[in-house]
Amino acid sequence: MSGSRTSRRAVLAGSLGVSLTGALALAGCGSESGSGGGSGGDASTITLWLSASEAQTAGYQELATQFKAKTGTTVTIVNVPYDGFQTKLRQAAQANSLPDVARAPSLDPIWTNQLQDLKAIATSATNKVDADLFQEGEDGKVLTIPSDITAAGLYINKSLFDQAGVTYPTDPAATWTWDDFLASATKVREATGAKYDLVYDNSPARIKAWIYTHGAEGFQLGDDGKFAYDAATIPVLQEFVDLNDDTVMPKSVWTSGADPNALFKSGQVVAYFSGVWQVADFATGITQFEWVSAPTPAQPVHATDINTGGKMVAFDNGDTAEAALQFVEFMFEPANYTQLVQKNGYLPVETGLDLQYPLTQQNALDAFALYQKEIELADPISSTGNKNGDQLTLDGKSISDDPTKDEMAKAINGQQTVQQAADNIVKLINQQIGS
Amino acid sequence: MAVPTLRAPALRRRPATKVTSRGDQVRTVSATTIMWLLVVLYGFPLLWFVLSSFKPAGDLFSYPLTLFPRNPTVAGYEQAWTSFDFARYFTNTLVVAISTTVLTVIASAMSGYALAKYSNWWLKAFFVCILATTMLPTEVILSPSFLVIRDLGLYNQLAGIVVPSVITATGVFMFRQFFSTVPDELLEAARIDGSSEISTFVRIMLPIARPIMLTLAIFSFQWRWNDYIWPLIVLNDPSRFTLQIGIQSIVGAENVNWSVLLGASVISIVPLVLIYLVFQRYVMSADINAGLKD
Repeated sequence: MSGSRTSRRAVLAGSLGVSLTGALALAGCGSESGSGGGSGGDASTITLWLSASEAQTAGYQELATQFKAKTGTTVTIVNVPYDGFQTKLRQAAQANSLPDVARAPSLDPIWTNQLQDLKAIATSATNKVDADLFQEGEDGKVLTIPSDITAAGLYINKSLFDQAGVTYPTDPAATWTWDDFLASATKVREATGAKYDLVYDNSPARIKAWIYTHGAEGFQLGDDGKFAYDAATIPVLQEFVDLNDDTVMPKSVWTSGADPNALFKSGQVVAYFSGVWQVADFATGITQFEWVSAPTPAQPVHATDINTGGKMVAFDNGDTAEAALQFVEFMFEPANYTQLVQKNGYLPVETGLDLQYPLTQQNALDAFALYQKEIELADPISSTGNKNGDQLTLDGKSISDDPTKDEMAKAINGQQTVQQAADNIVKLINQQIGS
Repeated sequence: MAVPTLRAPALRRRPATKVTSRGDQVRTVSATTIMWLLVVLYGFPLLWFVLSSFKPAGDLFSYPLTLFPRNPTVAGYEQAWTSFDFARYFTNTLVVAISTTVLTVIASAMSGYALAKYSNWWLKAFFVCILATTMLPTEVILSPSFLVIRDLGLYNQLAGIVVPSVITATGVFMFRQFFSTVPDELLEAARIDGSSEISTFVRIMLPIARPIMLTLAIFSFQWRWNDYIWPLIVLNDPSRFTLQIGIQSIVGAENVNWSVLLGASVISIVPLVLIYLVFQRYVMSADINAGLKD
């Protein structure tokens, strides 16, 4: 009995030993190089976390090289996948290893208290950052400046329009109404044998553009801290739901997750309502037909949905705090910012820049020019979606799960009325923000 | 009298044999057909996926859809290989997957053996505790595990993704169930022959558990190879990133670079396929009852 007990102990000790040795060996081989997080305490290296395609990381790489040449501080760029970026920032805040600078998808109340004030950069007279795009908190601090802005917009299959002999406007100042556009698209579809008139991104942001251009206000954050919608929103949404009839628009995009980008690329759809970020993708990903950016229809309001691309933040990590702030300052200096915007194909947050995008394709260049005009002409309501989000963050609240997609899908499927969908959207959002 | 009695069974037997052979044939043919149907069902999307990775971006969604690429290209592969430090991520993932697998198999075999062959009240309670860990989804224990890893100083270390994955309830359970089927006589015989506990385990028990070891090895390797959210949270330094983090970074917020994603995905499944091809022979042909007399 005693013999069996000792040997049992030996087995346990042996297994423990093996696991521990393995773990230690691994820990050993892992600790060769320097720290990856920002809290390394070494002011000559700072880290920048962002989530971007390879093409859009290039602009930041260039910026980092120039920053190193000027200040001697190395900027390590970490491209974090978009799916999981928020979670990673939260956990990093717990581990006390936040990056020094980040281009975050949104602000998180968990780490906003560790941010540095960017007010001097945002309000600088030389930078001319559009004052609509950042907000001061109650303490007068500006916690984030957007790296770029995005706008929703329309793309059409030019080859199909040409084949059908149907014309389309090219100047946003003389745009068409949704009725005109849909009539033209139907004509093109019937003449060319295409499958659908339009595919429309399944997104709470894109549906805002539909609502605003029809003269309604949609879902807005009121002074009482609650979301509400105006009476005009219901018939406008009803019209959108009715268009999902598998002829004008395929139901599958809003109800079962079909990819509108892929549908448009198939050449079987006359038009696609999405946003400026598609330009780079279409420039390389569409070779079977010609595409162009067309002005967003106005019925009668000239609007779009203006959003911020990424939110630039500088964390206060002690030793590296100053270098982090310096980097953000450097980035928004008009000369450097112009380079970044051109390289990454961004729409700028600063006004009065002379931009020349290094694209060779005329339709892509035209698209950027068109978007810039659209934004100039856009009704102020176009950026309310982004402002509401900023306001919530300043109040320490966030909408983690936007119910718009689900509720609209149910309305399109006939499971509920548009009125019920709108009521549910408001109710569910208000629940999440605790109002 | 004799003739008809002789004939009658013969007559009766002939249709009977025909029916069975036809029945057998029908059964075999239908079974084979179903198997082939399943192969097509599973294989077709995979084939499409692999062939699509050779299509240029402009052809991926062009209508009508084609199975074979019209202008085959390896541009997606090239771009995937150069867009991030693929070789390094590959090595990192390999190091993590192999070391975790080895440690998992060792730890699971030892604990499974102890739980099956030693009887003690606390061992039984311990076993229930291990099983209970399977009831908690990963998301629930994400934050607590993270705090433990941070306090152990394993944050931003490859060891930080290896250590928490070493003990898996599934592995322990597999070995425990297997070792409980091994008769105690085998153990006693070894003890009578003067074999120590460790040498009994290493020289007798482990060899007969080879199929379980290989099955668990394949599973464990696959789990660690495909791990995404945990490595993303634990690792900060791009030089320690694993393959899945790299692949996921191709999927953007607004759109996906499909041709690069397809290329990267095909490259990433190659090691798993190789591992399976090498080990499946052992798993399939191993006789679980080898060395045992009931």
